[in-house]
Amino acid sequence: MWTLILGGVLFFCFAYVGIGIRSYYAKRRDIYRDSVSYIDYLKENIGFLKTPIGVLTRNFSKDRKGEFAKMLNKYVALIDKGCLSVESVNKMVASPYIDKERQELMSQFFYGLGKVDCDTQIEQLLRMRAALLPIAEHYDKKYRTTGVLAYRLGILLGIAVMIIAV
Amino acid sequence: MLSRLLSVRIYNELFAEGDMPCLTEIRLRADKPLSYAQKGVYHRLQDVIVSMDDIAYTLGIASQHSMYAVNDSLSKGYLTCGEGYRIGVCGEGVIKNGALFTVKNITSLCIRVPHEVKGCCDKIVRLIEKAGNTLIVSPPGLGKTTMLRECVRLLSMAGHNVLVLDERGEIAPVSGGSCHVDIGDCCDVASGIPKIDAYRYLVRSMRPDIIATDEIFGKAEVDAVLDIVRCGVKVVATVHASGIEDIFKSEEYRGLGKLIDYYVVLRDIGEIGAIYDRTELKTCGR
Repeated sequence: MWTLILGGVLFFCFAYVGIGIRSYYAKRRDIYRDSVSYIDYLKENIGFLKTPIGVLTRNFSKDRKGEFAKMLNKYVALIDKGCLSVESVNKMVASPYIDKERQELMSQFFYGLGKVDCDTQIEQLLRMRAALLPIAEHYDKKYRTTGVLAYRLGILLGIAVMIIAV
Repeated sequence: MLSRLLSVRIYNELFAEGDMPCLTEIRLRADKPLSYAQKGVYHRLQDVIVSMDDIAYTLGIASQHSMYAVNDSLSKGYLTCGEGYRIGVCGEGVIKNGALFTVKNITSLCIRVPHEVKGCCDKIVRLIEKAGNTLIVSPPGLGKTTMLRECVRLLSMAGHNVLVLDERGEIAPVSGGSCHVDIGDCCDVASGIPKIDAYRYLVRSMRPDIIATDEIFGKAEVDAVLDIVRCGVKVVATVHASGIEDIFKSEEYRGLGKLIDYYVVLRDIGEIGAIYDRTELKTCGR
């Protein structure tokens, strides 16, 4: 009886680690993928209706979940409070799922939003999209290889350890 | 709105002694004392020096941190934000292709606080209903827009189809599709549309009984108003001038004399000084 419980616990631990690693890669991928979608959304709406950035961001993040949506919610809160300083934006983009240098890129992006005229804003968005798209693709590949591999390995190791233990 | 529009420090200093009735204007000038107007009288808070950060804060809130959305009005020297607040902006102009493109390094803001004063112009409304075209005349800051807003409300309540041409979003401030002031049930608001375009297109498409518009400026707008009157639509408008003499002295505005039926001249804040009708002016030789 106890060996069965021990085997189950070991399986759960290994599977949990595998799921955790896959989830980590999924979140990294989602942040960049969502940021590209966000830029596309801004591009469409700024060019035609010139809707303010706060309204657009709120609309975009309304029904979304995940790390990027959380970041956007913090951004909207900063806009509403009127405290869009470099420090507050740096703090907003700080995430364990974004590398240090890319945090800087994200911070520059958010800090630069809404500071220029329409044409320049769209140019900036296009530049940022061009910079983020390869990163999103890179992390998508990473997810599909390393993330999925870690998950499978976790499950298999869990099963193997459970069999050995039982 | 002011609690959002002003930085915490400025707001707390301004309202340190509680509510401020009849506050009409707040002026923020970089490195200068905060000043405000109450019942038309200016006061300065010598101890409260406005910083560039205070100005940047107000600009950020007024523009919703989206300069691209407000650059057109900024290049005309103003910003409008919800609830009919208008902010005059002064700084360094940036010229592009020979025209003012935007304003940078903004150092002065003049925040105009809107008011709703119900029942202040029953007399004017009776004139408009009776005869028609009416021009409200006064120097800046005496409540022309407030009076026009009330005229619009009363005319709309009386069942006239009123088209408000509100280029600067002051008469009937609209945001997110809803109007922030009471303008009655029969009112259509064209907000943020240049007056000349609005005159040209909306008179035909909206078929109004009365058009209300603020601050007629320059010959093009005078001609547009004259065209509307010729179309048979009544006009109630405002114009900046210290008296009707100023209007008739100016070559550009003289044309109004042919078609405007009544001139309402304001003497003090919200106070009608005199009402002239066209026949009266003719007998005076104008």
